[in-house]
Amino acid sequence: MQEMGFQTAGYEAEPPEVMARNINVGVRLLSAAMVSFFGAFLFAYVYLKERDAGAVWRPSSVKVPTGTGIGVLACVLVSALLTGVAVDALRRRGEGAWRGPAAISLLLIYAALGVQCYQWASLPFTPGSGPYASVFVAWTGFYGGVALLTSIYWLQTMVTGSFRTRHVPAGPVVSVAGAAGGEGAISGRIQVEARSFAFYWYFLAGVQVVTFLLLYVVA
Amino acid sequence: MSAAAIPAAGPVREPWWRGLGRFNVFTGIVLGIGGYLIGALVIGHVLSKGIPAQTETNQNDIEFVCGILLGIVGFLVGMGFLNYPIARLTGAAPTLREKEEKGIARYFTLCTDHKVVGIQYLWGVLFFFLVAGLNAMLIRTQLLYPTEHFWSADNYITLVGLHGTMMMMMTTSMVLGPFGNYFVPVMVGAKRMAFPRIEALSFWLLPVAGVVLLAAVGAKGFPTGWTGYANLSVQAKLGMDCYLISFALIGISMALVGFNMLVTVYTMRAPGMTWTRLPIFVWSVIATAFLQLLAAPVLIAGMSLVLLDRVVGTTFFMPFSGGSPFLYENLFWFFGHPEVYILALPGFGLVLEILPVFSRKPLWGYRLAVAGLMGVALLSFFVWQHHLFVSGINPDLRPFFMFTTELISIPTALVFLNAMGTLFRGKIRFSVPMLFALALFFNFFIGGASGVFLSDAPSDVSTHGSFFVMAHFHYTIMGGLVFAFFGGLFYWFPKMFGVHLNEKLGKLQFWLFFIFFNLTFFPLFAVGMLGQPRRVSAYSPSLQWLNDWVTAAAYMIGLSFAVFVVNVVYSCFFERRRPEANPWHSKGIEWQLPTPIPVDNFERVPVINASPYEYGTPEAPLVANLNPSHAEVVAAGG
Repeated sequence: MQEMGFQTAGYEAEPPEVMARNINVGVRLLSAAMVSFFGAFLFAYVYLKERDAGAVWRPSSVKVPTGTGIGVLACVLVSALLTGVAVDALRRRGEGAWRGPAAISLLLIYAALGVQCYQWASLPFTPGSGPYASVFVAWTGFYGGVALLTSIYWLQTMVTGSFRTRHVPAGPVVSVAGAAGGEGAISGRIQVEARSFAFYWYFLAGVQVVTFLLLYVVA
Repeated sequence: MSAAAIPAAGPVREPWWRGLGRFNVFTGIVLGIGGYLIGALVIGHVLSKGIPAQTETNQNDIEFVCGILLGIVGFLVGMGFLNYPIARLTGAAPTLREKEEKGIARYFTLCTDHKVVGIQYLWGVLFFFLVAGLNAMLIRTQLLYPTEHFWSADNYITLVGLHGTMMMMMTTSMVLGPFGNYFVPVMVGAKRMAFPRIEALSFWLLPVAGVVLLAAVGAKGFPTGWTGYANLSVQAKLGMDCYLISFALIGISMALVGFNMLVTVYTMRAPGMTWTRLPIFVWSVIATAFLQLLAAPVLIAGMSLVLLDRVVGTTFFMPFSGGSPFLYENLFWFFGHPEVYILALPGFGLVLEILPVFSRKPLWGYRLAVAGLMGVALLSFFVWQHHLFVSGINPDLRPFFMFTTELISIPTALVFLNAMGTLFRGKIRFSVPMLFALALFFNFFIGGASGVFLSDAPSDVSTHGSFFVMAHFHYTIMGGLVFAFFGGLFYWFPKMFGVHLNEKLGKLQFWLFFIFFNLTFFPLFAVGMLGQPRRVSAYSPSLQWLNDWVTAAAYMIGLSFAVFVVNVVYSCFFERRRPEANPWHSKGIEWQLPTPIPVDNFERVPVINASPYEYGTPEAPLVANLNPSHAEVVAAGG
């Protein structure tokens, strides 16, 4: 429930407890909405593959671009792993220890997007080459355009903010559950956001694993 | 000269036109038009080069879609929606407020005050309701004669599609938009919504979607009606792109509203606002928000896939290339049936909020009502295939979906039971909000009972696609939601605008609307049973007298809305009757606050002491303690 409001650290801040809950609950609901969204692509995949009456699901001329698919998957999984390392470092050693792994994790998401763009540019089939090609283009397209871009924006904002304020002296300690003591309001916010982002990014990494299995392995 | 001798300078008023350049509707429109031109003439032109299917026909979907999408982005940039994300990216500190100031300008810009957004929604919804209502009048005019017509068949089906799509798109926001945004934070004791900018975005997507949909008229219309079935939609003219993009935008808006409402209610309730003290309207918002959050993304995906088929050349719905039109039907109705309850549930919650106030009794069976609302929400995900009984569903699946569809009448009946229990032995006041609330139950009963015929596969086979279906869903949606909307509007208008709407004109509007609503739609059951199909303007001459009757009654519904407009103008600008602080003697927390409600709602976060339905209990405490001591906050779990 809502706490008494107050101002912190020179800007009009959310009461940190409320902010933490808002972001925590929000990110879970966002993930639920994403399940519905990508569920529609999954349904299209299963439906069209199973009722492949004319045997045109994936003609032999449509080659699966496995190499670049592995590239995207690897970038996403390593990035998710590093996000976990970063959150753990934040919890144990504070914001300073979080920045490095978080920045590398961000670079890997950029890399995943880069590999994905390269894959689209060099795709060995067109979107109209059958139902498989259609699902492939739509699914990877929305994963890149929605999932990767939103993750990049979120993590980039946190990393940039953290690097900018790395020399700011510690402000008043904010009672965010589990916050690193002494790093003040900004650290408290990073703490909350980092954990929420990690949840979101693990979830999206899971989506990427499912994507890989269906589009590249089962195909 | 001493400083004291200098007269104090008052605030310098700058010329009004300077404000035009500061991220508002004006800059939004300018950048929107610029975005459209760049998207269509530059980006779309380049992308479509070398694609004969686009460039060598008279229909370049790539240019058109690029234009619309970039136009939308331009509008949102012009409204200022990118300012904060870019500022945060470049290191700015987080803030929660934007343009929460006084004056009329805040209604034409990105404002984070939830009450402003509520009022923006109210006028936006009313505007599109008016446009779609006028379309309905044109449809009925076309049906005055069985064979001689005012418009061509193409234009008629576009009119039908525009009416249906606009009503279904806009009415999803009819209760949740104005009343949900305005009152839910107040009712849970919060100072604002959890994500105020997302709240503003959810509103501004609504007029954008409306304008894009209306643009379909200039792009040769669309032939599919509001359901947009593939593969007709894949082959249709440019106007179809407008339908697809606008419906996807509404889907995004719906999902954002649901997301924001759920977070707000879950995390921002005041101390003492336990789940069992939540107003029933808030519970209906929770149930609706779940549906919006989980169903709308499927709509967005479905619309996107059709757009990809049209623009990129994918083959999701083209049978000769391995696609399937049934894929679209499943995706659409997986959203489309929960959509019906997205429309109905807030209406139920609203009338259950009104009934105790005007019968001076506690809400009967509060927990039962919550169970009913949540039960409807849950079951609504398991009934979508009844829309496909006659269009390709595996016959073995029919019994299951018949069963689930009929099952949903049980939680719906719980809501009726709550209403009847609340009214029983109550001291009923037949004020205008109460009249609208009572009418909902009469109308929805007819709508629900006729729905049984459509949920049974054998009877659905003969009624599907006829005016019977049309009469059924108008009884549920118009007879339910629109009546609830007007009930809520008359109930909360004094709180929102500080003006009491004229009671006599209100009653005149109600009786005109109620009588002619029934005279319009009840005969349509007969028209449907006699075999007149939907979406076709030619019909058997033997049905002309029934159709003419319906058309005349429909015009009278239009007249009832004109009475409403007269009432608003008369009450606001001529009569100006200031209401007492709590004109309905309601126990709701919103009536404890001053009118207009301050920007922050509460000076301090309140402590909730009691349920808002303690009518008939003289010693019941006020619902909220607006000035609690620290000890009281702690005692309430704050």
